[in-house]
Parts: sequence; C-alpha cells; structure tokens
Amino acid sequence: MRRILILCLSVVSLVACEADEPVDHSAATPISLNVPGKFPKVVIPADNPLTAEGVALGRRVYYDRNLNTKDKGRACGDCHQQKTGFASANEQGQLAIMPHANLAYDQYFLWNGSKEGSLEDVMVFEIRDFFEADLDYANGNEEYRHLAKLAFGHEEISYKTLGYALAQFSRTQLSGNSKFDKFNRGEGTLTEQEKRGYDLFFTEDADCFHCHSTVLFRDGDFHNIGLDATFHAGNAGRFLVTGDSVDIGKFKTPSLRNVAVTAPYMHDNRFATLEEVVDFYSDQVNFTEFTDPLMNHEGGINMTAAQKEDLIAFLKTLTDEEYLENEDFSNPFNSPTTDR
Amino acid sequence: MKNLLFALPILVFLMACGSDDKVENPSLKINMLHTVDGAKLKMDAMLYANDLGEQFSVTKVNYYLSELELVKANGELVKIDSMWYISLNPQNMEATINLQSLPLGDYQQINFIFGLTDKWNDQSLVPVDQLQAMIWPENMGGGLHFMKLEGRFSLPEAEALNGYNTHMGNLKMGDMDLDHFFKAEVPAAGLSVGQGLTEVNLEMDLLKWYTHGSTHYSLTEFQAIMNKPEKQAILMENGQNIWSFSIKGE
Ligand code: HEC
Ligand code: HEC
Repeated sequence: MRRILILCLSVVSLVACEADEPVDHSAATPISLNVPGKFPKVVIPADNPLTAEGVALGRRVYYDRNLNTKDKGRACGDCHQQKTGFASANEQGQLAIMPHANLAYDQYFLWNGSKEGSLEDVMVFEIRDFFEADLDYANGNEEYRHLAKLAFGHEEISYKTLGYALAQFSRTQLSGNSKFDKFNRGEGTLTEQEKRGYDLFFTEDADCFHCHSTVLFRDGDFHNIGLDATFHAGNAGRFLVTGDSVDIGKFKTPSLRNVAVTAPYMHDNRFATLEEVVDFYSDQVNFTEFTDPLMNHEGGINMTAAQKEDLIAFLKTLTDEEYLENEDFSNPFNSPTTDR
Repeated sequence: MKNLLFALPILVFLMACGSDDKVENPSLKINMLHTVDGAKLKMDAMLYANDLGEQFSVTKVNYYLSELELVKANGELVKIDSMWYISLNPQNMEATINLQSLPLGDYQQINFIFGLTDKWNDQSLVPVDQLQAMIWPENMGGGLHFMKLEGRFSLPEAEALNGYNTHMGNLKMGDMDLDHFFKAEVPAAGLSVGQGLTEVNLEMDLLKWYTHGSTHYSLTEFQAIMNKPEKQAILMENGQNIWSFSIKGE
C-alpha cells in the first residue's frame, strides 16, 4: 500500500510539474530492441515508443557536459563510464555510482529504491532534480531542437523531453553477450573452474542466485546482507524510504553483470576487489535481527580458498566486452563527425 | 504487485465459460490465512517457539498452488486448471483465490496441488518480478520454486540468530529426477455455493511443516535444502496436514 502511495505521489508531482506539449512520434523512425536470447520480454510504455531519433537524443543528453547546472561540466557519462560498466569509482564512504545495464526491467531505482516506477520516471527525476538541467541551453541548441522535433513532434524542450529521450537510450543498454550468456544459450563453454564457480553460485553451496537472480543477476528487491552490525542514517538504506523497521540496512540488489569491471563494491564502496567481496560472504557476515535469513549465520557460508577462486572465476564470465565497447552507447561528442 | 495472485489463466478460463452477470455469478473467494501454532501470523517478529525450544520468526512466505478441484457432495469433481501465486509481505497479509462461474450446490472437499504440476512449472508463464522471486536454477532442473518459507531462529539457551530457508521444488540434478509437488485434500464441511459470492478461509499452519505426529524437526535441518531429497520428502508428507477449512465468519 505504502509503495502504491509513493507511486501515486510521484505521478502526481510529475503531472503537476510538466505542462504537456502535444507529443507526436510520426516523424520518428521506429526501431525494435535487440533483446538477448534467454532474456525476459522488455515492456515498452505506449507513450514512449523506441525511435532512432529519441535514442540519439538520449545518447546526446547522457554525454552532454553543458546540461548540468548543479555540478557544472559533468555529464551522466562522466560518472557512468562505459568501459567500467557505466559505473566508476568514487570515494569510499560515498554512495557508490551504480552501473547501468538492463535497467529496462527495473521498477525501483537508486540504492534505497526511493525512485519507483518506470525508466521514464527515474530519468525525468535525474534530469530535473539531480541535474536541474539547463533548459535554456538545450532550447538554444539546434541539434537538440531538431532531434526533439523528429522524436516527439515539438521543438520546445522540457525536462520531460530530455527524460523520455534518456529513458529510450537507457532501454537500449542491454548487456547479454558475456561468456556466461554464450554458455547459457548453448553457444559456448566455461572452463572447468568457471563451471565449478557456476555450480557454487547457482546452488545453495554459495547461494548467490536467490538474490542475484535470473539472467539479470538481481531480484528487483532489497536485502540486508549483514555488512554492518549497527545502523544509523548512513547505512539504514531502504528504511529511510519506508520508515518500516523491517527495512533497516536493506539496499537494492545490484546486478552482477560486468561486475569484474565495476569496482569498488557495495553501496558505500567498502570493498576494492571481488576477493574482498567473496571473503565477506564467506566469513564476515554480521547476523543481526535485520540480516536476511539467506545469509545463514554469523560469519557466512564458509568457503574454502579453492571455492572462493572458483566463484570469482565464474563472476568474471559476466563481463560483456561487446557491451563495454558498443559504439551505440559511446560518447557521440568524441566522434569526429559530431561537433559540440 | 508481488502479492497479487497470478490470475491470468483463471481470467482466460472465466472468459471462456463465465456469464456476464456479476450478481448472479456463483463465485467463491478463498481467503488464504496463515498461522503459527494456531496464532495469526505476524511477520518479522521473534514471536514463536517450537517444541524443541527454538525461537523463530517468519520473514517470507511465497508459494504456488495449482490444479484445484472442488468435490461436490455427490462426489463429482469441479476442476479449475490454473496456478495461483501467494506472496505475503508484512505490509499486506491479504491473499485470496477467486473462483467464478461455479456450479451451484453443496461441496464436501477442496483438493489442490501444493506446488506446480509440470504443465504449470514454466518460467515463461510468470511476469519478471515473480520470476526473479521464484526461479529455480537450471542446474537443479529449472522451473520455479514451489515454496519459500524463511525466517530467523535461535537455538534453546542461545543468543545467536540464524536463518532458515525452507525451499521446495522439483529436483533434477545428476541422476536425481524428483517431483516435489503433492496433492492436498482438505475437508470443506458446510461449503455451499449459491448465487453471488461465498467466502471461505483456507488456513495453513506454518509450524506444521516441521511437525509429524509427535516428531518435531529442528529448524537447523531446513536450511539450504533445495538439493536434499530426504528433506523434500519430509515436507511433502508434513504438508498434507497443515490445512484447515472454515466458512468465513463462522
Ligand atoms: C556525480 C556522479 C553522477 C552523475 C553525473 C550521474 N550519476 Fe547517476 N548515479 C550516481 C550515483 C552515486 C548513484 C547512486 C545514488 C543513490 O543511490 O542515491 C547513481 C544512480 C543512478 C541510477 C539508478 C540506477 C539503479 O540501478 O537503480 C540511474 C538510473 C542514474 N544514476 C542515471 C543517471 C543519469 C541519467 C545521469 C545524467 C542525467 C546521471 N545518472 C548522472 C552518480 C552519478
Ligand atoms: C540476501 C540476498 C543476497 C545474497 C544471498 C547475495 N547477495 Fe550479493 N548483494 C546483495 C545486495 C543487497 C548487495 C548490495 C549490498 C549493499 O551495498 O549494502 C549485494 C552486493 C554484491 C556485490 C557488489 C556489487 C556492486 O556492484 O557493488 C557482489 C560482487 C555480490 N553481491 C556478489 C554476491 C555473491 C558472489 C554471492 C554469493 C556468495 C552473493 N552476492 C549473495 C544481495 C545478496
């Protein structure tokens, strides 16, 4: 109920803030999503169909350093960097920069899930509240007006225009061609060590799959995995959104796609390496009244050194080089044909 | 959304054979109630104890039922071939199964499959959020979990908390090929379907999953049991005796 209430409130606030321009997609070029094999269906909202011009506009917004009025000179793509899974390292103790891949399936966004709804909702939030994007700049830029006219049927650019374009771009960011995926589709093999790691991951021996679930490697839910034994505003997580004590210390399960390149790890960047992460799950879990039952007991699942190596070898098969190098997701301003 | 029952197949069924007249439509609402040792379930609280002196809480109750049958007083079967997903969360403990366009008359028993028969044990039948919650990994046979029952517990005289996670599902691994769904038959005294809505309660006592006659099982034995056939077999037996039926308001 509470969740529905929050959703309603955010919908109301969106409606209140955006004077809707008439939207017309007829001049835009429809494109279809290339959903990787064995992935669930992607639902595309009727009011934001995927078009070449919408995606191009979104990609531009993602990388344009001139839009951000709050943190001048910084684009989405400066924190969310492609070569590191659309994440990057920030300071330990700060909220970690979350990677972007397969967000098309998400319903909750940010570490504590405070943004709930569609990609459109979170992207309008990012561009309006997080960036306070410079609409004068966008409206004074011919390329923006041109793309907006084609994509949405109007030249006037609002937060909604930019947010919807970002949502389209983000929906195309699908990562599903790692070594694991090829194995999973029967197109490739894993080494014996990787296969042992796979079996640890996908059984209750290491029990990772219950939360890092499906081919998305996340469950759309929040968990307290026992990183800490005591809680305060800084690590209360989802509790700060719901006010419900069952949510103390819970954070959004991050996807493990491309995890080998997204260090540091956890919501506060506390672990620098996958070795540290696996040591934590094996031996350092704090089992408090808030810890998820899947963590079993104080300490954790107790893996041998060899098992830890196997598990890490498997985690490394989740790196999708094609995704990290795909030009469609790269910075358009770096390409010689696009001037700023 | 999670706690909505998976209603699509039943809707299709209804459209195929339902009448448009809502008032006249003989329908049955089954409220799925959950108790621990007879007391109404309150999630996430260390309120409960078993006969071995272990204190415990319940943090997650998700399960599937499929292929329900209503047995008429004369023994005739009314079959509703579908699947239902029950997922409790502490904010909303309501869970119902709604059946419509039923034949009028007196019934004596409700039968159903706890878990999913092969035809319903199919990952492509459920929406993404349900799949994420219930997927059963390929290397143990694929399909879906039939049940996730989880919580925390402490051993007698001990402070330390542990987790139990009692998960059921078919196990196909190595040379094991084992079905772990089972049929439950619950006497339904006084059930009579007339015009309009009839409301009944079907209650599951969670403690009884761990009880067989005078045998009480420790929660330590029901941690990480997905690939333990002997534990699945115990649950399949105990699971016959955890249900009770009542007419709502009586
Ligand atoms: C200064 C660095 C920085 C910049 C610039 C930035 N982000 Fe982020 N992003 C973060 C951090 C940190 C988080 C996690 C914050 C939290 O949980 O509260 C995050 C989280 C997100 C998430 C949630 C992902 C998830 O899995 O829930 C989305 C979506 C997102 N950012 C999109 C954007 C977009 C779009 C832009 C540009 C308009 C942008 N970000 C710019 C640092 C940044
Ligand atoms: C109970 C659910 C749960 C289980 C089980 C679980 N995880 Fe996690 N995992 C999470 C959550 C939630 C986070 C984020 C926690 C935080 O930052 O507070 C996380 C974070 C991670 C991260 C860091 C990702 C990042 O981008 O920062 C890695 C790596 C990881 N888990 C690997 C594993 C492995 C390997 C296993 C099995 C040994 C495992 N997890 C078991 C829920 C779980």
